[in-house]
Amino acid sequence: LLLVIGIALIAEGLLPQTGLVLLPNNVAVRVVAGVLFGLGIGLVSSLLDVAGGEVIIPTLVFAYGADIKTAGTASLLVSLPTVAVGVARYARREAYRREALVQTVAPMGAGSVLGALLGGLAVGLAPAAVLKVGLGAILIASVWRTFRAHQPPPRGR
Amino acid sequence: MGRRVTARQPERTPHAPGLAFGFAVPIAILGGLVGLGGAEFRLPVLAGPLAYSTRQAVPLNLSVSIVTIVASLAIRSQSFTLAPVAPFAPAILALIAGAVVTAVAGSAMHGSSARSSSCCWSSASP
Repeated sequence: LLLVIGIALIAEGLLPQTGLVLLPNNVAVRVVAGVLFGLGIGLVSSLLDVAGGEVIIPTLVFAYGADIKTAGTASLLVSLPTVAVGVARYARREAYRREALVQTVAPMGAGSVLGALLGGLAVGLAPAAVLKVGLGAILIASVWRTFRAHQPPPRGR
Repeated sequence: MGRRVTARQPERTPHAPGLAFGFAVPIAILGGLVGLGGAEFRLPVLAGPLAYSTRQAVPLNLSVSIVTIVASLAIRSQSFTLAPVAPFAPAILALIAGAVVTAVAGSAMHGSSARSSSCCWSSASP
């Protein structure tokens, strides 16, 4: 599924205007569909322990017709509470040791803030097509890695 | 299923902070640019060069995701406006509602399955 979405995103990035929107422009339909999509996204996020942006962004782009930059921002908004639930869960189970927090989370967090600032500044400048193709490539790469991880002798695809 | 703790000692090497910083920057640039937390790219770093077991890496990774997400949102609200998001507010709220429900349910499931490793990249960890 991710592979298909990845290819679709790249195709959309390369073809300038397709404007594919799967959902009718009706608030009730969009909200109900949103809850259903959200259920799936939360599941993916909590099972794989990721923020879920690679699923959220394509959902917004294809189902709701958001442009890729808006979808990125919206994805961050959706990810935040979802990830917070995950962190709260681990904190309750005392999965965080002080040493790891100091040695790894602190420097990684600092690096991430720096990177996020640079990336965030670049959003205003980067063309949308580049972002779409980039996200498509990320999706395909994730699929590839997951696939290889599940089948130790790589079989190609 | 055997619960043997073989190859991986708990503390194999010091978890080099400089390395953690260095890897985090490019990953967050990508994350900040596209709108991702970047967790899937940090996990191999935590489990590889930084020598954490997957079970240790996953919660650490998630906490760094939160930092990245907050920082990305903060900068996006400055560099680039949040106004285009407004029309999608109902969809976003609906997505959040659904996602939080399953995230909480998923967390309950994790809790009951106690310490079984949950993640997919971890053929190596117990």
